[in-house]
Amino acid sequence: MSWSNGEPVVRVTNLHKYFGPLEVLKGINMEVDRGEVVVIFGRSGSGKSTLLRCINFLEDPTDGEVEVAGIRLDGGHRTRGKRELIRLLRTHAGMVFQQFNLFPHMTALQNVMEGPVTVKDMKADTVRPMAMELLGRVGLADKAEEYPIRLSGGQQQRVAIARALAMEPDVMLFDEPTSALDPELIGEVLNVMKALATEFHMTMMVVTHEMGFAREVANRMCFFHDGVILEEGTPDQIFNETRFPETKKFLDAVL
Amino acid sequence: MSEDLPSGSIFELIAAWLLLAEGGVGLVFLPIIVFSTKTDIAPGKIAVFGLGCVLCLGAGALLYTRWTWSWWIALVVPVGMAGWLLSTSGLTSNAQAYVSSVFAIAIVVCLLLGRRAAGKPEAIQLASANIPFRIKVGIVWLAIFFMIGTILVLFKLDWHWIRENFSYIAKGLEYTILLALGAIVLAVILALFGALGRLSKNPVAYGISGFYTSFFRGTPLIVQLVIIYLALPQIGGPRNLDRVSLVNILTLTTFQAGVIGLGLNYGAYMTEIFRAGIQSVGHGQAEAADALGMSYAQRMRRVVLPQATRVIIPPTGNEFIAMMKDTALVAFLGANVKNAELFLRARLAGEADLRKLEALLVAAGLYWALTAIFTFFQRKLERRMGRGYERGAQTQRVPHLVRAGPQGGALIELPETQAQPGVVPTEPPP
Repeated sequence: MSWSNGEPVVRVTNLHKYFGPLEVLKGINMEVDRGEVVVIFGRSGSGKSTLLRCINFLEDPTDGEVEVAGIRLDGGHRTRGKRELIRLLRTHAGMVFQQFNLFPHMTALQNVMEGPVTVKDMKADTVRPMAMELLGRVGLADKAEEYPIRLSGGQQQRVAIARALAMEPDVMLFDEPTSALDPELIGEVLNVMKALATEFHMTMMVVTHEMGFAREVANRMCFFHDGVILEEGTPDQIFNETRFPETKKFLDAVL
Repeated sequence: MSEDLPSGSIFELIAAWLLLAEGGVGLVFLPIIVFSTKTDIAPGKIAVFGLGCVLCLGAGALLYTRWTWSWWIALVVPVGMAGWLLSTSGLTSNAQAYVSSVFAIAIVVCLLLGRRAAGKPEAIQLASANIPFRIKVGIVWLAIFFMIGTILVLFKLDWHWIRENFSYIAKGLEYTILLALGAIVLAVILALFGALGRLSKNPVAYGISGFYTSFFRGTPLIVQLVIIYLALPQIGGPRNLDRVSLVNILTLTTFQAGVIGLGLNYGAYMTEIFRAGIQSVGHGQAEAADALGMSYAQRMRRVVLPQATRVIIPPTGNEFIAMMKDTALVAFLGANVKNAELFLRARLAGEADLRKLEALLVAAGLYWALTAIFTFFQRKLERRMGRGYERGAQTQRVPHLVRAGPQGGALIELPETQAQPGVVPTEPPP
């Protein structure tokens, strides 16, 4: 927090989300500054994934306000104009899924190029060198021509990160990026994410149970419990000066 | 194998098959021969023929046993059967006697060549196991065709008429294929929009596509065709040739009505195929496309439909084959003789010369040949569509990658855990 320049990239105000009668998010307020890495953790069902999905409107917030890179949107029903704004907002927020969700009919390179070419309407020849560079950065330059089915889970997730980065987003949203991976493949993905944070100062919101990663990389940690942010602080505060018994219990369970 | 296969065992096997075939075919033919001929056949003759067939079956079965004397029975029974038929000039004609003689000669030759395998059922079974399944199925098909052929001979078809009229009837294939092609194009377009409608959150799109599939699946194709061809012009009012009027627009040729009717009907069925194909693309794919900021059209065109196509194409091929047969219904729309399709031509030609059986058999044979050809290609297509999605499968890009790879000449490296999904390497027992 101290080293960021205080310019919020993501601002969430009084965000509520209902699934039917079930209130999953109970008025979340949150700001993420440029270059900040926020780790969100908590039990499954506590609403942490839902928050990420509300930020880029994969779920429509029931009530409240979301602002990403200066684009401000209300919750509630979608209108025609809002739909266009949602698309614009999404180009500023890169998303990485638990299940990778690479396009299986495209090669790794085509996956990375897809966003800029289709959404930003850029020429393939312009995008290709940039996409190759991104693949190199995640350590997969030699896999550019491979289809996802021939890549390991860790490699697929790294391609997915490159795909999201190709849109040059202002913030990267990671929704449990390592939860579907075999244990020995988790490290390669976390290393890419670490480099993204420390070398490129990417603004990141990471839902994860990887507490080692959080301790090392996060500027701030948020503990989600029953749809609210119960506890918030630097990794040092969270790990060493835990205030709530719920947080303590959860940390004891995952550490 | 500890035991060598006696050299003639394959012939012993063939002899057994021939005996079983002679007995079986004879028993199947017996009622046909008896009922399809007008001459009275002495009951005694029928009884002896039936007994001969049963003996053939028995002799064939005996060859599979350990008794060496069964070889002699297998030798005597078909020869005796042929001899008896020759002496009484068959049940109704000499043909049966000749066929039986051919069988007998073949069986005797095979038995002599397979003498050493007599009484060795293992040898015969091993010889049988060495023959590929497909070849055995081929032999069964040959037997079926042989039977159909002889039945056709019994029916005394007018082959001269068939030769003369074949090209006229076969010309109908042209319109049959054109009808099917036109209708499948229309059906694919309708099915695509129908499926998008069924999956839409827009109530108008959902409602219209729901009505469309419900109506066209819920009414008979023939009724739809007749409505389109005969009944629709009625709502246009009296015919007026002077100006463009509704009735003129709604008066269609049989070909147009056929394409529209078949297209609408099959489009409704294929809507479900397309819907299932689109739904088979995982939800995560749509989310990934959304997260990149794609619009609905972009998401469909770039991400969902290319993947759905893989699932959609094989059943669409099936529908096309089914539709080729349903083009025959267009024949009921009326006698537009000039561009009549296969079935109508067969009916017209057959009824004109009172050669209905010949004409319709020709038409059926042509439909069958047509669908058999397309089924063959459809199978190939199906196999091809599945190829890009198998991990072990070679993709076209692999050679390029191998060349570009590191100088160790290493092939594509898969991590140990991914190399053989589901296979846990186990140590061989000491």
